[in-house]
Amino acid sequence: MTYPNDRVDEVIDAFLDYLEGNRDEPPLDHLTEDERAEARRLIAAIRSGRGLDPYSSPPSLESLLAGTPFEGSLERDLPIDEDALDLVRSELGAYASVVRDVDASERGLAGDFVLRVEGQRLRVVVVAATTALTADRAVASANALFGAFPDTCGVLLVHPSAEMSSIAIDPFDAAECIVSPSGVVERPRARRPVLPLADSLRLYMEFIAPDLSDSSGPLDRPELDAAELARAAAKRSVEAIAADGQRARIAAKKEAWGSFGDAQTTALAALVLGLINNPESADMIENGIEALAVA
Amino acid sequence: MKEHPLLHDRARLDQMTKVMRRKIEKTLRVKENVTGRYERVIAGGASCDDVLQDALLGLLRFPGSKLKGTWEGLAVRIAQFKAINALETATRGRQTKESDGQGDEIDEVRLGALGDDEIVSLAEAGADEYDEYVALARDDLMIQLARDLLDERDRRVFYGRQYLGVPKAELARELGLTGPGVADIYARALRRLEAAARNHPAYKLLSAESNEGGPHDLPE
Repeated sequence: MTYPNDRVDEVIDAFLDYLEGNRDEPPLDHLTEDERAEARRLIAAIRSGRGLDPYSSPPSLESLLAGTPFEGSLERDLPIDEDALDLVRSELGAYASVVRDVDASERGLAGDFVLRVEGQRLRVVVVAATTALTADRAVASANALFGAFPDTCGVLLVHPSAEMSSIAIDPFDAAECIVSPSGVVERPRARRPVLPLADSLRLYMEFIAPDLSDSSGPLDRPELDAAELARAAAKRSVEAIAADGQRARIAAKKEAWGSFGDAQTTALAALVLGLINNPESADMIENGIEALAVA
Repeated sequence: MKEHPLLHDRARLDQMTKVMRRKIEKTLRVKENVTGRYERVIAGGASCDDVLQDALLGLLRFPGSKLKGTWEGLAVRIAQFKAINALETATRGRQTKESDGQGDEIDEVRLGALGDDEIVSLAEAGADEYDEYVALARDDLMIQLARDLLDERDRRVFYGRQYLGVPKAELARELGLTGPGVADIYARALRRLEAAARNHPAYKLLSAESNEGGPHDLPE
């Protein structure tokens, strides 16, 4: 059986052969109207893309206009005002020690804050809201910081908006890299998702300095107190019975069940505890826990 | 010098620069396979970026009062003229030198590499430049989407087949696939990226403006 996609795929493959000079242009007559429309759309995309260099990207506008009469006339991003910087600083201050990045300012680089988290030094660049966080020039500003301050283990680009959108750049994002298996050189680009500032910071720290001292593992849990567990279970059961008794319409039941309280709880807890302490019950519990662990 | 209106719209000028670069690449395309390690260099030492800079300056020097169509359409036309002009200047009086087949690190582009279709479209330039701009913007978007949506192997197949003219057998050998496997990966990637680009908000906006004859620019 031939699926519609197969027929269009065959045409696409034949069309590429035609472009390579290996055959005549493939006909579309045997396709249905929908298939023909799809094939034409895809062929138009092939024709249009032919000859492009997918590994290239244009230099920045600044570098294209450098040394020309238009140098400096490109509309610049509005400077980040102090209020916006304070906003970012107070947000960052909730998570880590933060100081103004004086070194970057002195070198004319776009660093605004230095963040010290768990012994790691991160730099923060507040980016104008009109600039995409993933824009080449935003990534280039991170690259300049990595170059000037090799002790920097990450750069956070932040929009000073209410959402405090941000993206984390690591040193490998900011550098050209050789991709395997193609071996082509890929230009620097932001690879992480744009997230609220706290999430970007948390995820990045988990990446560069995972906290392995988490005590939430099964080995570090405190020992269970069987008596306490038994009493809690008994109390819940007795309270449920007493509540049923309060709603009962039969007077005897209402009086008997409704009066359940501490005495019954203590008795039931002792009974449950006795069952737990019974060697056979203990084996059953151990087996149950092992089965759960395996699952 | 009076400030050009495009200098106040950085996002638009950014996109126009990308599209101009794509147009120059298409015009300067070479018949041989080109990989990302090689920069396309015109005989005489000029590169795509040199031509792009020339084209961008040409665009910014063009007086808005004389603009009849759209800046986008003009950008495509200027990029094409500058690329052809660079080729003609570089190859005037030169003998065509056949490649030695040893895989030179630099692909010199010669006028002979210019396809007939480009020369014809230059002569006909006038009516459909904005549509061409939209198509090139979509191509640029597809290249970006391929970086984000495809894994390394599928991206290599897509780039190779779609843009670089790498034969199917060569890709199959390089990636340890069969010929039909390469064709299948390419067709799936093409469908996915073409649909993703077509439904992308940036392309929808351009496409809608294309139906109205392009964005409505006010004179300078």
